[in-house]
Amino acid sequence: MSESIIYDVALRIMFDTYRTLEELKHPKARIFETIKKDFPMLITSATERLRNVSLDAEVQQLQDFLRYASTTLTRVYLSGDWRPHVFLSEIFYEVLPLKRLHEWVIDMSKLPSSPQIAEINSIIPLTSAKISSRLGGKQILLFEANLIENTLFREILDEYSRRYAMNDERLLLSNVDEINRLKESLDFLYVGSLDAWRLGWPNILSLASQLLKRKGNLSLILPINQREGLKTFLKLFDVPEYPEPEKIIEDLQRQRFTNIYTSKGPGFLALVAARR
Amino acid sequence: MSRAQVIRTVKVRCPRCGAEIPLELTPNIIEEAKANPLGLAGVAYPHLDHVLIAYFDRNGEERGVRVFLTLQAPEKGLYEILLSKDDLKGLRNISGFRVESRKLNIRISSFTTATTAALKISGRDTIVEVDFQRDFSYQILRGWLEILLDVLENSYSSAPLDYVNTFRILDIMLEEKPFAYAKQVFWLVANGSTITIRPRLPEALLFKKYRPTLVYEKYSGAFISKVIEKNEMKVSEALGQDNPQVLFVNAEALLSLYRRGVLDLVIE
Repeated sequence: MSESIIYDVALRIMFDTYRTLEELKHPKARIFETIKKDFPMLITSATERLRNVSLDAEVQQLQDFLRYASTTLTRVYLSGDWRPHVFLSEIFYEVLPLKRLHEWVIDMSKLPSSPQIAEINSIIPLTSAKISSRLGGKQILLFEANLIENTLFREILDEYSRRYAMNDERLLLSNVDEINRLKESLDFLYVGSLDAWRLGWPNILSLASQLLKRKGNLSLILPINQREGLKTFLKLFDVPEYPEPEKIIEDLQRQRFTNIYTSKGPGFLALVAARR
Repeated sequence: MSRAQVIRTVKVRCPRCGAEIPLELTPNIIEEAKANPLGLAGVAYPHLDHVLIAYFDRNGEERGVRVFLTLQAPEKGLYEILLSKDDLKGLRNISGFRVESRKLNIRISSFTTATTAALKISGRDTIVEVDFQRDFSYQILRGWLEILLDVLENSYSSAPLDYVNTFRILDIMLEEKPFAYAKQVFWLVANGSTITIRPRLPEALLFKKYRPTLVYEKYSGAFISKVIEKNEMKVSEALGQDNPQVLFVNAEALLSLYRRGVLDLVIE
């Protein structure tokens, strides 16, 4: 099945999301301003392309994920209840293509015993929990302030920390002293969640270049969202456009990353690279 | 309490006797609601032969009332409940306990076996005494009992099973240091017979399909299936009287499902 199917699936879900957000006068409805005049044409052609296609398990599961993502926008807005965002962030790691990519980045990363590892903006620190169970070491969870100030998210982090006996430390990305202290100290840095994608590619690249030690591994799961469908849909979650995979690889090589391996799923890219 | 601390007076009609009762909403009640796992705080008002409990959310809005019959009128002293010897069977650390709640007008006492140490702690409306069959550091005991006292001060169940289960999980918790959400685990168990579990859609369906790693690796799959497949059940019914370790892990599992929005925990 063509990898482009997911963009058509996302377009159809996005149209329903647009109508719901408009009805609710949700502030994010204005994100659709620039494309709403194109909606009829986009939806017609997406529906046409999907007409005779049966969705495989991977795309069906991504469809479930995107539909639920749309539901969380309205639920969080209407009730101020952040539980759907937690659940969405957790099933991110369980829907087939993302689960496969996540397992791939962990398997491909070369880690020493007792590594010092970090994740960015992960309210579900599953990557750190898994590595901690296998190799011990120290896990640094880096956050933007709005995430770590949320009581529910802190409880989820406490639950992961306790149930996986993690040796974790939580730091603010805005704390320059703490970030400087971590300079060239990490064996592994993972970036791959809806909240992490908000940082955008230039910031992720800059943090990876600063924080990883020599031979340290960068592991990424990023959206391939230049194409409409995922482009506007992810904007609803404040995720900016990411460069095409080829450009990401070029940028990494320019920043002295080597041993770059990639794997693609529908709409998403997994990448592992080592700092030279 | 001084008038200056009262945010406003809320008039609540008692569904049992029809009396209109003025309840004073204070900053402490709002703080209690903010700290509560369900975002609610209860205010108890004993009168005649019953106690009215009105629940307020963190914005100070009324979120429902419940009425409990008092087992014995306050002027006749506390209503005594003596638990059977079997209720604390299998505990490794606790040999007995007594809880006295002036708010609920009850005293619940267990049968006590051989004791090496005892600790008593008192709050505004509640006194808790625990006997131990093993030595623990005072710091650890104090830490746990302060959490427990705070929970019982803000609990409204008079069901003996809820108290028994609370002390059964305390028996397990004593073997580790207090952790961030320990108070919530206690609160859920201490109020188990007053809280209904209601699975939510579409989360419960997605949960069964995608089986989040942490929940399925760290908690019992059979217990999770039981609670999300049933339309609704009481927390105390779901927890039952399993061995203390299982009870503790299952209480944690319920909170875990609640935090993910897979179920609601509703005080009724």
